[in-house]
Amino acid sequence: MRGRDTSLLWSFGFLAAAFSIAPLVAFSFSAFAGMGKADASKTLPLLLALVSPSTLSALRFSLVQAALSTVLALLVGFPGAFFVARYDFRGRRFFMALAAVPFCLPAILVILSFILYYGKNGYFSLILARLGYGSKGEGLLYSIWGLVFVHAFYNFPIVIQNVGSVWAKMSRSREEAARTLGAGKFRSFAAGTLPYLLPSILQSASLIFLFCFFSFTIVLVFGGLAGSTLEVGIYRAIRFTNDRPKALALALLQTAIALLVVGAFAHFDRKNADASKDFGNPPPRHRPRSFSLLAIGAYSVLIAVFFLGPLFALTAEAFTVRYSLAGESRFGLENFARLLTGPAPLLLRAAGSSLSLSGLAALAAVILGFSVAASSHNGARRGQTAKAFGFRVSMNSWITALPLALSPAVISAGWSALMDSSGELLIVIGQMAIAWPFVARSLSAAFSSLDRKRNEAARTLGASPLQAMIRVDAALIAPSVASAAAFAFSITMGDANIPLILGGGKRETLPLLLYRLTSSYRFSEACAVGIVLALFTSVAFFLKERTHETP
Amino acid sequence: MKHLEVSGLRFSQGDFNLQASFSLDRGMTGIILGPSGCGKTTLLRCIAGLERPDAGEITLAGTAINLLPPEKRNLGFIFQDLALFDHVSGRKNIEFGLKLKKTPKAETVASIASLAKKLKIEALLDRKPFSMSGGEKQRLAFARAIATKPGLLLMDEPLSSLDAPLRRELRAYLRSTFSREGVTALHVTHDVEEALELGDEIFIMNHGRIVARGEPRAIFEAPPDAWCVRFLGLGFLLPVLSIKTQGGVGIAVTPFGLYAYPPKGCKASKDEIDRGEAHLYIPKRAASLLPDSMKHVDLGSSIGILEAEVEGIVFQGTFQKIELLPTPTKKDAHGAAGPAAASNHIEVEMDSAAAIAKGERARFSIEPGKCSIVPERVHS
Repeated sequence: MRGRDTSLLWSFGFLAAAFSIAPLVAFSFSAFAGMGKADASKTLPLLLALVSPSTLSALRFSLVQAALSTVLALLVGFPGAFFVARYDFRGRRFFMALAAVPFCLPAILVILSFILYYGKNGYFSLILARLGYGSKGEGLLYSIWGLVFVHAFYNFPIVIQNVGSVWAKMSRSREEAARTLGAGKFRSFAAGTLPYLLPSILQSASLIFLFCFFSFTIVLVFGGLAGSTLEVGIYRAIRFTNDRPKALALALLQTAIALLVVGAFAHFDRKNADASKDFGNPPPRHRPRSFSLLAIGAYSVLIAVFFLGPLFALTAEAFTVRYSLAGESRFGLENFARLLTGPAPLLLRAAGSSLSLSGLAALAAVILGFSVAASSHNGARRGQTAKAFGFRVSMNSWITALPLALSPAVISAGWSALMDSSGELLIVIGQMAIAWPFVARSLSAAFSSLDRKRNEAARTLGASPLQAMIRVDAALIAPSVASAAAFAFSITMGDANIPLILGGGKRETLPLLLYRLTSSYRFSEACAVGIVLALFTSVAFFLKERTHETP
Repeated sequence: MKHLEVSGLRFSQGDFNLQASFSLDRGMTGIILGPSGCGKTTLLRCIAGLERPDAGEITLAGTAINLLPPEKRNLGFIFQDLALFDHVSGRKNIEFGLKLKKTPKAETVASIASLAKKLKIEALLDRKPFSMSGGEKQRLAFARAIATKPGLLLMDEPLSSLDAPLRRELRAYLRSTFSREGVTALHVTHDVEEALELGDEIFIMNHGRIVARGEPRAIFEAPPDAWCVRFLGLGFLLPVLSIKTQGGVGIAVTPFGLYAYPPKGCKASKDEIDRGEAHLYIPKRAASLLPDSMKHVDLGSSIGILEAEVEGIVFQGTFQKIELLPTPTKKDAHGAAGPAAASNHIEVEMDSAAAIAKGERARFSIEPGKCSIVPERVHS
């Protein structure tokens, strides 16, 4: 039985890994094929591409901006993690739910909102000007600092949720023990809490680093003057110069570095699972009083001004109707109306496409993610030793983090080469490929929290193995599956890259419509589409939050 | 001067209110005994400075410590989950407090070595806590807490997660170490056996108040109220209908007969007796079986005889536990006794050799010197 379980784990693991790597392999073949037979050595151009000054500078820029963004995201997110872990306050759930943003809002929407808020005529700039700090921040948005700022504010909610949820579960007795042994507040935190929190901090850091390292659209817009990342280089090589060997070289370099980070992620993921295994009952959360209330208030204001401000600007813009060239405007619903009326209502059509494609992709992602999670759970549940537990968690982390180490541009081009066609099927497959790891991760957590004793209790009460599985295990897992499905739906709904590259212009989804309107400077309408898109993704995510706390 | 003095301590959180005043001599072990949720852990945390009381003063060796942060109070605390630092070795765990006290390196090394020898934990110094057994972790936590020679050791049910044999072993270990090292300790538990074995003085808590205090023997011989009798499982209670004096001896009238009690043996007020809130407390070992020849004798209004049906006998090794359903006396069964006579099962303990069988009706004589009349609850 054990043998069969383990081989099931291996086969699903292998399938999932193969699924992740297939497009990279396909792209590699197409790159080599493109070099022709005359080349003395097919690897030479690859090597040359790797050592060129532009590659090295792109590599440096990629690493520096990702590192800075990660540090800033940690700094912004850490106090939030502390507050949600220790206190019960109005808005606590909201802080946790913000984690949806980096996963579900397409980058283009974030860019649009940051420009509307921090840009030259943005609300924030206008307020600064009113306060007499007129041109202080101008141009900052389009430098490396702007890029780092946008990245950090895009990703800090990951820290709040990942670190906050671990912290909330942690008993405070170690910190208190340190205090009774003579340590001050800071020292006792360092001795009694930080070592147990560190895995989750580093796990979040590696995830954010990966997101920023592969960031593409945001770099293209905000980093333009400061430098270019490897991902932008890959995109340019594929799209404009059709230099596939160079794109491949950059992608391999990028993946090699990303694999190190994925390794770190998998390692900390496992440590995190190990550390939080023995936490026992979570300590109670208190209502904040005096100083803590003040601190939470100040933090909320900071988040509202810097982070929610852009989203507010986006909403305001969606309802702003400009009716003269002089820039006069008023409040109204015309932006929506224009997109909803006419012989071919753009918004309805795009929403229809988005719903059907994302629905299918999410369904497929749930099937694959469920299979991987279930088989890895099954593979080690009987007589599980610490080593087996560790191995299972590691393998799970590796398999589910692997897709994060691959260039989205190369993946898209690879799928395109693999299927030799464009269109709906490709979009569904491509989006499924980005969503399934998150499904597998959240379902793995659900599977590992299944208590085998409940199943055994059902058996002793007269249930057959099948009945016990359906009435106990399946019933307990079902809410997690529903929430994972909602999460997958949010991710695929918000994704713009796959349909942009693979869609071949046949189906216009909401993010694509958003792109098209933005590039033709129809910002108000773009914002209206953004609002509709954000509604879809956030409703799905909030449904997920109702049943599950961690992604 | 007492070593630890807690006076007028008040702490409230939501509906819960804690009020406590007590003291403890140097070198003594005080036990805070009470049911779950009675506030014993909170009391300990207030003393340690981990909770901030609303009022009150705490002094340790003559110094007020209630305004000091936990790290300045010179206390040791052993937590229920032990709170060992799993990421570092046993040695580093013990070293932690010594380093913070800026103990010179050589002295640290020497004191860890001698402590490890005394507590028999040499083998644990270079291992990390996650690889240790429950008992080993306990010993390490204990060593860590006393390494800095704290003025007071606070223990929050550290033995509660262990199995019975290991708990017995560690109790003996703690008792001998406490007396050898002259540790002053305050130990929270809900385990009566543990309280008796470790405590020089017991403080019984209920609903945020200390309801009884004293040496274990004194509390067990003269429990202050019915609640303590039930909580400590000391004996059984019969409702007192009234009291009277007969030939200079106090007599309690119960639905199950008349019983004498010693002078000063009535702790309930007249009001409490009139309201039906008083009980006759009879210790488990105060009943002895009357011979068969006494079974059918008409007792009339004899004093100190309990008649009951034997419902069950539980062999307990050196003694046997007899479960009884007391029979109301005829007069009271239909009259004044009313609902009080709707009797509860009671338990007495006797020698294993006592010849008694399940289902039979038996008569017991009750030793008057051991009985007392207690109120339902002492209001402190």
